[in-house]
Amino acid sequence: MADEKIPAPVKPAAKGYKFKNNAEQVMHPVLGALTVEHLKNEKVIAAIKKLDEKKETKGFFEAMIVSA
Amino acid sequence: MCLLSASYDGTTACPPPAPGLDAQYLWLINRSQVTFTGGSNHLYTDITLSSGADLYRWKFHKKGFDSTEEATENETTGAVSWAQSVTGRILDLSGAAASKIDSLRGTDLVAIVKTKAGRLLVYGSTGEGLRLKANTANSAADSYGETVTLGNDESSAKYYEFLDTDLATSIAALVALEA
Repeated sequence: MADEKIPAPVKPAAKGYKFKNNAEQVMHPVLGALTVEHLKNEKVIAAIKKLDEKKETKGFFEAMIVSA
Repeated sequence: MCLLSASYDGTTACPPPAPGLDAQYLWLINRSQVTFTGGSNHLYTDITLSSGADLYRWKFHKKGFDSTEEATENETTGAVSWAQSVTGRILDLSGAAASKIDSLRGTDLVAIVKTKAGRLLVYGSTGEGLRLKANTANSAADSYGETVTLGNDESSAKYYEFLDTDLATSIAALVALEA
């Protein structure tokens, strides 16, 4: 019996983000000035979402950020 | 005898940096649960908490939120140490406020504050952590609330700055560790 070839699991593509309207920079109420470079940083994305969850910022992620 | 090996060219920022602390940002950490990476030139570049530990953010009234550091020379040995303190006031007189203040008793803390000039300063990370040094509850209009001073007497080094890439990334790193 021929060896069954098991396909390697497909890795999901890394999620990228950008600001709405392709803005280069936005001001976050807690983190301060954010550039598109910050959106590549997982820590920054996690912090934005956490502040939204804690209601310290009101829907900043949804209002300002979209998938690239 | 120690030899000086550094010069200082003065501040070239124009306008000069804004004085004072941003009252929305005081992070407190149990000293036994935090590790900072870096340290040369009094600069930490990363922060790690032990498993299950959190950062706790306190927000104070904008008036009277200050940090200080004062050097003292030991008359006998000539060794220099620093007394550090962070003072703030919460505009609240209630059981909840009293309970929050009470939770500071007996702790050994590291404090991170944000200056209005955009620097994150770390107190209590070397030699001696900060503890509850003073607390006044006052009902008078001009000093209403709970005023708290966290401090130490003999820090073995001056304050450090925390900078992970830039200010926004640094604050994000701290927020990500908050409770």
